[in-house]
Amino acid sequence: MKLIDALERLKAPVAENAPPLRVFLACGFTPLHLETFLTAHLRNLYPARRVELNSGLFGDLIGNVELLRPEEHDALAVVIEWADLDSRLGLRTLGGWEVEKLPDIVDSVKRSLDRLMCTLQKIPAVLPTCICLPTLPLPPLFYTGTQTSSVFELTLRRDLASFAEAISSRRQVQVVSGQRLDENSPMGKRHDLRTEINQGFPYRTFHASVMGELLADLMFRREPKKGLITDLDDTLWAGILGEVGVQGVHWRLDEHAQLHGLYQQFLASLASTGILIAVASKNDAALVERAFERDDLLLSRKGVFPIEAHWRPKSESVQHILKKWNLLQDSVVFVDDSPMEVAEVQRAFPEMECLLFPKDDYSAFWGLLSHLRNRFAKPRISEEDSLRLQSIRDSSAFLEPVDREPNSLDDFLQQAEGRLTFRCGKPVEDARAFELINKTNQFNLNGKRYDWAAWSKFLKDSQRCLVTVSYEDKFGKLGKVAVLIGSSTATKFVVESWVMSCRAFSRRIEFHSLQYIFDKFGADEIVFELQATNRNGPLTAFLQELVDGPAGANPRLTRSSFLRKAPKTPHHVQEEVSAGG
Amino acid sequence: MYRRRYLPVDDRDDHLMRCFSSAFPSATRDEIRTAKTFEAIPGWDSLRMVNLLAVLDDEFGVQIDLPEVLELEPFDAVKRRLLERGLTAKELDE
Repeated sequence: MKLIDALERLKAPVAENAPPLRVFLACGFTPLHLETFLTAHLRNLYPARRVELNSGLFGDLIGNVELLRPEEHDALAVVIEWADLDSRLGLRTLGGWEVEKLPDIVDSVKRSLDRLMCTLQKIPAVLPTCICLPTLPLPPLFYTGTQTSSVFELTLRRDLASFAEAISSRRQVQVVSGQRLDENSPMGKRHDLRTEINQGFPYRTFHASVMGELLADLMFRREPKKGLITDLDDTLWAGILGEVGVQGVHWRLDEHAQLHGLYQQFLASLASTGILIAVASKNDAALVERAFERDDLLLSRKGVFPIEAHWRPKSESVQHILKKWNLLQDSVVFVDDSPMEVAEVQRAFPEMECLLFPKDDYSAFWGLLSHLRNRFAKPRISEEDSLRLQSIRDSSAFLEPVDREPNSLDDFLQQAEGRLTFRCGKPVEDARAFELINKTNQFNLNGKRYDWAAWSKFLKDSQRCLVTVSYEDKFGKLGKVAVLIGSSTATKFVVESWVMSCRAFSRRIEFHSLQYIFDKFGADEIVFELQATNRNGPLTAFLQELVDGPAGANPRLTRSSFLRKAPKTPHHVQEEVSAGG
Repeated sequence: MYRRRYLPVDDRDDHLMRCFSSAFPSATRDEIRTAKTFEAIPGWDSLRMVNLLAVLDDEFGVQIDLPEVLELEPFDAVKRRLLERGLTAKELDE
């Protein structure tokens, strides 16, 4: 984006009642064009929000972070430059670069980083925070010359790396990738000495644009994709399985098929982070199973579910996979080396991202891996991520008896030995509840999302309560799968938000949850603030079957109606009261 | 040494006008074209002036210092400076 485009973007009107998106930009220099670009990129990403960007005082990065009022902001961007850590590393002060001062500069930078760390640790861990380490070159102050890294420079970079490593372990903190920044904004084209000295703004406009885009992109991460469906022949491996046989397909460097080996390694990496991997291949199913028995395959059979191998259209395979995963098409990426297959699936699933595997184009292959990594990017891996594949396999076991014999579900659930844990309380650090509310689509009462400010306000509101539900059975743990927010009066409970992970469907956890609300709050009636969205059909259908009359706006469910219509609730239930309960 | 050029007589300077409009969003084209000083452009402040100079640098690769143009009629003065520095009327238009 050029500056003229960014300024024009800011001119575009925003609806008066648009909800605000409040971002605090902490930097030690005049934010000037960085502020413009960051605002413009945020407006591009969130056109329905009114972006409000605040910044602090010139020359006091750490002081600005200290003055931040987290409850008044939805996100924080901290842009550090060397001058913020010791003003002698900037070009607007003349503190001296003599040899005897260099150790003190190094010590001073370390002290500043320690102070910044302490300040950042006081910020609530749920406020999305992006930290950008120094992007500008160090001035030529070291006696070793600019071709050599002096011991002082190496010490500075070590201390900076230690700071970044420590701060990145905090939840919701993301450190901007230096490698990505180097790719997009070459070091030699970042610094503008003229504007630094004259205006206190050290960036060339191009660098400011790249910074603004990266920060905006990181600040509120888009929901990652959840599953990848891959082809086999000439994609997962080189060769046509049906022609060359199980031992004939290959993926090794010495077989001139390294790209396929790298792709397998990449998919195995995705699977290890809880991403679902499935196969859709026009192939002989028995042969495919035998190929997956090869112990040199880098993607293990355990990490792939399901495998759809037959000769019918790929779109049919994709349909089956989506059903088994219980995912919507826009949560999934499809990869195939055949343009025709890609087109066929894309036509059947227009919201699915369908990508061509570039088997003969090294540069495009590198681009594909980077693209996929970003599509499936997660700031950190949760316990639920590690449970996902197993729980999907288990869900499949739950679904199959229902498909075949409707009456067998009661027995099946009884034998599953399910255990539900309800927690009623508001622990501030419950990031999973915050995450579930903000990413669940299908079993979602109204699609309402909470930014940090709204969540923070909710946590302090004594009139509204938070109920979370965890589940496990003899097949394994699902972890925290449902969240409900509401308020109760003497005889009525109003549900403001209710979400449940699609992994938890078909276990009657939703019935248990309502039973818990009736019992816990002594309610005679539950009122649901239902609002239909494009994606919450499962919850709408559930309520339609349960409430008396049509499930329009604010449907009501009486205790007697619930007891009459609800099926047996088969799981063992326990309750934990957490902080703030 | 910059080549001196005569100002074109037509109004083919949309690109330059777009630069001004981006920096002074509340001013109309007429207000920008007829303003006698920068301060007379509606919405003028020093920050917008800095934005304008940065946009001109970005779009035309020409750095103009603030004191150089501040006392002049804004639009024509900037246009003259750019032409003096080798820009063509066509470049100011596209």
